[in-house]
Amino acid sequence: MITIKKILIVDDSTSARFFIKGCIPKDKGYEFFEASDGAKAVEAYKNYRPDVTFMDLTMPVMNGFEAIELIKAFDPKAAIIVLTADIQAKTAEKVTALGISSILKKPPVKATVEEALIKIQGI
Amino acid sequence: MEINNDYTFSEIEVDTLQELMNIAFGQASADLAEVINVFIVLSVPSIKINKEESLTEFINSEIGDLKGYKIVEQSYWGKSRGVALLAFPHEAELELIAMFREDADTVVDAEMSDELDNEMLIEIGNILIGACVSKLAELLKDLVTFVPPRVISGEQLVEALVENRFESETSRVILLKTVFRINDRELSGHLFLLNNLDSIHTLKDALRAFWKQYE
Repeated sequence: MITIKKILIVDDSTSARFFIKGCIPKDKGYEFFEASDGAKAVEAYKNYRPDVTFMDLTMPVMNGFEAIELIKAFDPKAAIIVLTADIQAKTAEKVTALGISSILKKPPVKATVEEALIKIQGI
Repeated sequence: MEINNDYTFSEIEVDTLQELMNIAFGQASADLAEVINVFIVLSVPSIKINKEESLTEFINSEIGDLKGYKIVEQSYWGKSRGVALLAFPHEAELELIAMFREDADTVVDAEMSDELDNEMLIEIGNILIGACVSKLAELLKDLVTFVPPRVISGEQLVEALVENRFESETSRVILLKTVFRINDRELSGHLFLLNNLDSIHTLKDALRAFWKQYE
């Protein structure tokens, strides 16, 4: 059972990061960290050791696929929820093979974001 | 959300529009991937409000020499009017059509080939443009109607740009651009959406409403 305290949100879009935050329950006292590309996400992960990471895939500098690989190499138990506009079946196959917890499509919806968090808490 | 009530967009409004374009093109890619067995690598879309620089200069600076390009052009209208231009360099177009043919298992004689190539390009354009524009409209609570797409050459586009045909149709334009690569090949295309700036307030209201859902 995982207790979620720290959440890292990775997306190059300020709006997208705001939309994700808007879907996460506000009464749980979560601490949020943000990163705007894959490279910054890896750095932030190592610094803050979040309990959950929301990861976009299409980003400049380093994309989400590479960032997931590096985070998983650093911490194989990292709980990562991919939130992406790329809804191709092959993309889902590719990220699932990297060992992510869930894949959600953009724009985020409260119910599915909460479900994905509950799923992680139940592990 | 920081709002500009004039004819300019705030940084956050542009960022939101970019994010919605990203979602819309994601839908379009998935739709095309279902029809032909391709994997599309998405890129971060960009948005420009065409105020001072001309559309011709913008497209030239993005693509370079338009000769040798085939372009699928499709107009649409809802709360605002716009034109979508899907541009492929000749080599990319041939490769894409070959993939489409493989998938459709089509056998044709040489005479029909050109016509069929254009038909296939129109079909590809229809899927990508239709899905992208419809998704964007859906996110902004709009409903768009499409004019059937047609294929024009790079030269014809240059002519239309020189005659300011798009600018006269759309007054001033909001340019949304995305570049995409197909499979692992260096096969890329450009999608431009030229939207009528006359309805900028409608668009700003829609962006504000979208943002509000998450406040």
